[in-house]
Amino acid sequence: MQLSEGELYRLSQRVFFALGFPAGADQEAAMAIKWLAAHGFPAVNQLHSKIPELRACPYQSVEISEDARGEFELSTSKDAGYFAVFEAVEFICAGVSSKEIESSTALISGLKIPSLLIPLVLRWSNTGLVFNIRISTAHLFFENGFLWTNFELNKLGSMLDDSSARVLCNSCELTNRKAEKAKSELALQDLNSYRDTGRASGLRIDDKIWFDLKTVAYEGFVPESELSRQHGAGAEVDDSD
Amino acid sequence: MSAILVNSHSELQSILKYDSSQLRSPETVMKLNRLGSFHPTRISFTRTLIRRMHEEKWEINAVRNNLDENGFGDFVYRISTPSGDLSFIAFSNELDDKDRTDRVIAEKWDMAFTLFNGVATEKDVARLRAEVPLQEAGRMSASEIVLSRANKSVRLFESVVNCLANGTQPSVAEIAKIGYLIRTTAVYGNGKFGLMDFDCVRNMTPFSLPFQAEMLTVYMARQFSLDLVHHVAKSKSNGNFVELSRQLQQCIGVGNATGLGMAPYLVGHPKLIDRWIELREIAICRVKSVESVTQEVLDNYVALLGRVRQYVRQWQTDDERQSQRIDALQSEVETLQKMGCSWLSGKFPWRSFFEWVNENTSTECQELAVSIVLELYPELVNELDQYTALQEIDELYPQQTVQELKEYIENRYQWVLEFDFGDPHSQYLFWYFSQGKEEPRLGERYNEPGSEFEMRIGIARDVKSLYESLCSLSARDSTQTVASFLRTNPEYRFIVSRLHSLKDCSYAEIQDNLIGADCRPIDLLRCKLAMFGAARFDPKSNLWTRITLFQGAPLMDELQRIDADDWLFSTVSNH
Repeated sequence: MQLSEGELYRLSQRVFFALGFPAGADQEAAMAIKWLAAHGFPAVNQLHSKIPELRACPYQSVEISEDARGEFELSTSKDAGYFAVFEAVEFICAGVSSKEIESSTALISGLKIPSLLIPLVLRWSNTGLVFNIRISTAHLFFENGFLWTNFELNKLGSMLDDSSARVLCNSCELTNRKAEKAKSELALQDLNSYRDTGRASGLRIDDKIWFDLKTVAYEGFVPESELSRQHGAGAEVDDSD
Repeated sequence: MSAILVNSHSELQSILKYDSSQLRSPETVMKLNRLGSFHPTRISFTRTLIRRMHEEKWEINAVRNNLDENGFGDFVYRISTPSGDLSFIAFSNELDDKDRTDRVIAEKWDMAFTLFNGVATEKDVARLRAEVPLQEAGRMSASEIVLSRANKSVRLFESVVNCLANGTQPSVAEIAKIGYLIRTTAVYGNGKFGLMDFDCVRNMTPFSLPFQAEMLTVYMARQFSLDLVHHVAKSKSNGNFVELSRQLQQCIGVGNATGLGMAPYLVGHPKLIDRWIELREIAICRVKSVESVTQEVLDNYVALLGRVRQYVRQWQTDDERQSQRIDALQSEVETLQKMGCSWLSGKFPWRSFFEWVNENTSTECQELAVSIVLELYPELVNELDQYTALQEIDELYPQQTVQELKEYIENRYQWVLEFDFGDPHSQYLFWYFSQGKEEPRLGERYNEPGSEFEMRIGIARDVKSLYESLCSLSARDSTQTVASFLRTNPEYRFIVSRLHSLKDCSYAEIQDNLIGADCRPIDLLRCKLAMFGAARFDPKSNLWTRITLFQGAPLMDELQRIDADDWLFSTVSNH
């Protein structure tokens, strides 16, 4: 079925809310899903497939420590669980005292996008970091007032053709040391072109996935009851006038 | 007319050249009682739309009438604009009286509409016939911009049909009392149910300003209601059919039943609300800066007061509180009329005017006075409507210290600190979406289940809770950054981001407790509806209101009239 970006955002936000994400984190995670889906990444499928895990291991904050070399180590207090990478991004931005920082803005492979894109892309587990989109290594570093990452994304075309776009990542580093700007193989015009096409014709989503996500979202609404019906606007009148 | 997209407050200030200190304070404006007293102005969205249609010479034609003798079937209009063609497609259906409800939980309606981007083909109409009447249960495509539905005002619709079929005009009093043949019960846009996203609407259609597509849909629904009533009356007549007189046609608007859904929008789009209110305040400030008033303006003022007096007289409601306000307003408007205009001949006359009005009249009258005076100065006010659009981007400043955040709340959110949320009455209500068609509802926290799912409407409570949490930190912890604080307190992420995002937005927050036992959602609804251009507010409870849109507006073949923009507070008598 077809849906709009706004609709996908609202649905995702409600799913995250129903799954217990804190207020605000649900919105940022939903923004991530919307952005990724609009640019051709299989974010909706990933969200759908991760619902059981999200239920079992709800949102938790990431713990960040800095070693003597100025490198950061990520960890979580539980064995497994999703965490918000925007917290790590903000931590680093805050740690590097720069008044130029307007907000926690990240540049991913040359694309200026908010750091809130990243949540849900990363998952902390016993086996290391799992990237739900096709990323081989993640390296975050701070330079010129922005947080950068050299995610090595494959070309959009091959990514879209790959239904199992899930690659284990063996290493992840966070550092505030200067590093060379990474070269991306993913062309900005490819991303924009994909988004323009999607906007003109709407996004596509599998009917079952849509139904499943809506079912989860409904868990965040108040169940219908006669008392509840009486508290809706207009409950007390006859509208046949 | 295109939007001038200005996102930053400082940029807006430098373009429009105004002094913020000269505007009415947010503490004065952003109170529920005042917001709930707003009236439409010349920068309300309906007025902006009609001006644009006039200036750009839009043409609207009925291109397909597929209605049967009872008025059931489909009807299509083509709307030609300099930026491209649009189609308005209406589906009229038979509806049992028992199924007619204006509530969100309704599943059938008398009619359903869509605004289509481009010229709709037979194939498009066939596809839409299967989807549009289903409304939320249907699926739109990115070719459709707006989805809407309406129910007949059965009493007036049937009465007008019978009169016209018998060759007579309906009673003016009856038209004046009701004011519309149909009332819309939802007008959806911005990507809902598969519709085109607003970003696309802005770039791919003639609508770069907020809610213009929705307002056009309502305007076209009004036209359809007239064409439908004529069609049915003609079918029923035995050769005696007459058209509704031009004067009465103009006095037919579109009714609307608005409930709780509009309130979360106001709280959830604080930057937009800030912009809309600020533009209104800038307009007031500009008018107050007028040094002296011309005879032409004085004549217009006197004429407008006369029109307003009739409008207030014809404004009827069964709501006791609103009735009392209307009674008081009637006498206040009469007083203003009796005062004439000689007292406005001094320097900066409108400053004196507002000083007198603010000291001697009700809030309802003070806000009516705003609408009256802005109406007199199109050259100062009209251009402001180009700035009603902006991109709402959430911000967060991770490097801010907790101490700085605390001081920010003390400076900017002083009004929040006065509430005692330990008192159960202060958070007696909770807003939520029901599983019943996602209808927004208002629950009683201590008497009903579901408060854990409440919407984020209790901004005052959330800010106060954050503040208390910040105050409880040790001196050492107060030096930590917001980033660190949020890692250990992620539940405050939403409210901290909101505070940061609104740092330059003085009019973004409604400075009242929206979950307190005495909160009246109706005031929130009226504020937004007035910005749309709604009039004749007719509250049906604390939770919802009926209103009328486009009453007095030029009909589709009158858009080129020289006075196309002159219809504020129109009544049957003054047309």
